[in-house]
Amino acid sequence: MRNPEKEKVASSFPPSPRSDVSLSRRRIMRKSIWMTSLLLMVALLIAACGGATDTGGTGGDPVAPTEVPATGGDTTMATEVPATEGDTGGTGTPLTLLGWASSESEDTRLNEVVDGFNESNGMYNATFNPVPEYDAALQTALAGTPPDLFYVNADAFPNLASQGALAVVTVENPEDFYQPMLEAFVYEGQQMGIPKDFSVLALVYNEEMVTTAGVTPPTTWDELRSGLQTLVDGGQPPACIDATIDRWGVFALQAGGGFLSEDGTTPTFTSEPMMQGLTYYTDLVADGLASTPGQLDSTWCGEALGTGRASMVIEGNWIVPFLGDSFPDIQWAAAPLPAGPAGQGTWAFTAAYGYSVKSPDPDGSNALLSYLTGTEGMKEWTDLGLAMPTRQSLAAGFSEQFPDLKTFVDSAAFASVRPSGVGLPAVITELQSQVEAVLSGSQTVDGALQATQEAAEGVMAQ
Amino acid sequence: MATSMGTTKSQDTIAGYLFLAPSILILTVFVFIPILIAFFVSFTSWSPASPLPLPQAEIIGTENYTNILVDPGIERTDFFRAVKNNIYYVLGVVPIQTFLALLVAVIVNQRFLKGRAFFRTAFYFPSITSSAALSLIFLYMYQSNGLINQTIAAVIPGYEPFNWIADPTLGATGLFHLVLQSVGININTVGSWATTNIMGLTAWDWLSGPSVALTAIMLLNIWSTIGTLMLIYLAALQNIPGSVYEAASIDGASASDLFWQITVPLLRPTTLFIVTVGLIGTWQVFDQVYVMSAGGPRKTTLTVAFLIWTKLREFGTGGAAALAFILFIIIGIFTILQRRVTERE
Repeated sequence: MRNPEKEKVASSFPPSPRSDVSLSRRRIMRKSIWMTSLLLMVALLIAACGGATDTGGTGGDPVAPTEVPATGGDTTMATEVPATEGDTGGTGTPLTLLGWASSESEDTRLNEVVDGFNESNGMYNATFNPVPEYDAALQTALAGTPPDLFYVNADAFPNLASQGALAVVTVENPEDFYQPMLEAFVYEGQQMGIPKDFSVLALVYNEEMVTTAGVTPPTTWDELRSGLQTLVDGGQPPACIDATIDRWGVFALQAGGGFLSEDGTTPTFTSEPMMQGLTYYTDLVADGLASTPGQLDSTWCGEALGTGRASMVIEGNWIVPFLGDSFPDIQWAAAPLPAGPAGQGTWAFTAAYGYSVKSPDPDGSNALLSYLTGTEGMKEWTDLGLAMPTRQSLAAGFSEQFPDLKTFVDSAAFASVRPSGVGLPAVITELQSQVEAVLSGSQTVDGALQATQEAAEGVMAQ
Repeated sequence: MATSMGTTKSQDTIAGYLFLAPSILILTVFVFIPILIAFFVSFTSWSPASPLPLPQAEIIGTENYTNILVDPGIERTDFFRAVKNNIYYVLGVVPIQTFLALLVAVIVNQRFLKGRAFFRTAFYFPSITSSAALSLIFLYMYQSNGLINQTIAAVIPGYEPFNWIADPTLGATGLFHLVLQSVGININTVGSWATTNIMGLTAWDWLSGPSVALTAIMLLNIWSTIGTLMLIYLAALQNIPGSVYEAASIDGASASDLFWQITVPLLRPTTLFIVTVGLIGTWQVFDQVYVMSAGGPRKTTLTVAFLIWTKLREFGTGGAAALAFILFIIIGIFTILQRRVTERE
């Protein structure tokens, strides 16, 4: 292929000077063409980008659709962080509250609540600092001077607690809290965070589609199945249920168990309730009665419901503000999840406030924590109508104020907090991958759970 | 004389280092020290969340490395899954983008081409666009009601549109498997060797080829990188004196002779550079995966760089550091191999 003789000749040639007289003129012309095309492209690109961001912004969390928005807001990365308002005119000792960036309304409201603390306390001047990619940002923040108070994601809690990063906190009036949510932040018998709010899963459906098909909200597995059959037979879209255990796992709960033993030390992915729950879910998908958001061209099921690609979804209360903002024309309603062979069950997701053992001002941290998780501060925060109060004494007032969310608040009575543990997020991801394999027919329910069980045993043995 | 020469020389050396001092300082603080610390971290179970300062971190020896490379478990399976995906990614992207960049560069270098400035700009434009924005645009194009699916459906009757990135069935199926399936071959019909477990994956899995979702990301990456590589080729092409072509033409060389016997050999150093840069870049692919698929569907777009990020986010700083060094070694091996192969030619 190569001709060494020719190459030698070629490379020994001196580069010929370009003696084109019209070069400079051409260069100018070329430049102007270049500039014109550049401008054209910039204009096109701006138009294209603008369109993309507009659509992208509405779609929940486009990056990790399976991630649970623990506060209930859609944790869109691109959300602009509004300037904190608390730092105007405050004179007390400065305190920082680190949290994840969420919707603008949530950020504004939290700033107002923090201002309320600054006024009522008088000694401190706290500011809220929302950041994207929170778990990564928190780690870097903790490596330096830690923030005075920060959100603790329930999935990150076992890691933070076992690393010794969290200080032990005292809870005022602990029996007022939903106990499973308080217990989610106990490590080796010590309370290391106070749940700030929670979200819970329910069955949310398109009222028009359901009424047209003549289906009543299902209360049992059989009714859900036959209801979906009627919907699909009548030309309506299927249900949207994500393949993550954070959604279909409710079926395992309704069959009588989760994926960890009672004491949280032994994985039980191959238990009978898990088998039963997963089989029920994969059968729904196999029979065309349910789909994953990916199959419905959506980043998450909320979007599928909003765009009319799904008739029913299993989602949390964060879907309510999303539908209101992005799809105000959709007539939706929520029903408690249907009961399975072992009764009712649903997942609750919660996040806590906690502070570091290295906190520069533990008294300040504690003052802010007590205010935010106290009855007054929590009411002020949950009055936004997004996430729900973890203090049971606030539940009745909340449902009255936000009738749309009543189903969700009431579901807390039978909700379990999705357990977590060091290394468990990787197992959960593996399980989702296995379940997707089941949905595509290349894996069995048995095989998927067996593989996940082995993965979990490996992780928990470490 | 000898002494004065020596003095001048040492003075020159001192002056040289003085001039270099700012960049040496910056490199030391921002490159060398972090690398050393990361290397240390890869032998510990330390996490930034831990209240212990780094020097007091618990040293666990090579455990982070053995978890990834040796001990059966989810960490090893995920790593080799990522390596498998990444190998297909590299083998698919690097040759295609190099060839297309050369082709495009040669075309826009033609003097007879009208408006070539426009084409140069058009080809280069994706390279200066934010990859996050591109990924989002492509994410919509790959949806089942998106541009690409609709076009294919219009051209090929009987094509069932599906979401290339997110569909858990077809989106996660490897291209080789797709081809084999279409002729009726699957894991159950090829024989028992297919279920042999190699590093947590079956032999059949290793031979899957890139999944449809990964291929979609590969196409995006090829499209967006061609511009930069074209620019490098273009610069090299313009350094080839026209008289060489002239002489060859007089000797009776055809257009394809000119291309294969003159252009391609004279561009060898450039090609070597482009392939090396391409290898390094494709092994480190992250942003498109982050924006488009987060490793799914069924972990078929999990890449080593994305795995590092996942580990970091899940407080596995030591494991992430170990992975980063393993990736560094992989890239090193591939680059050396590639140089060996091209030098032997």
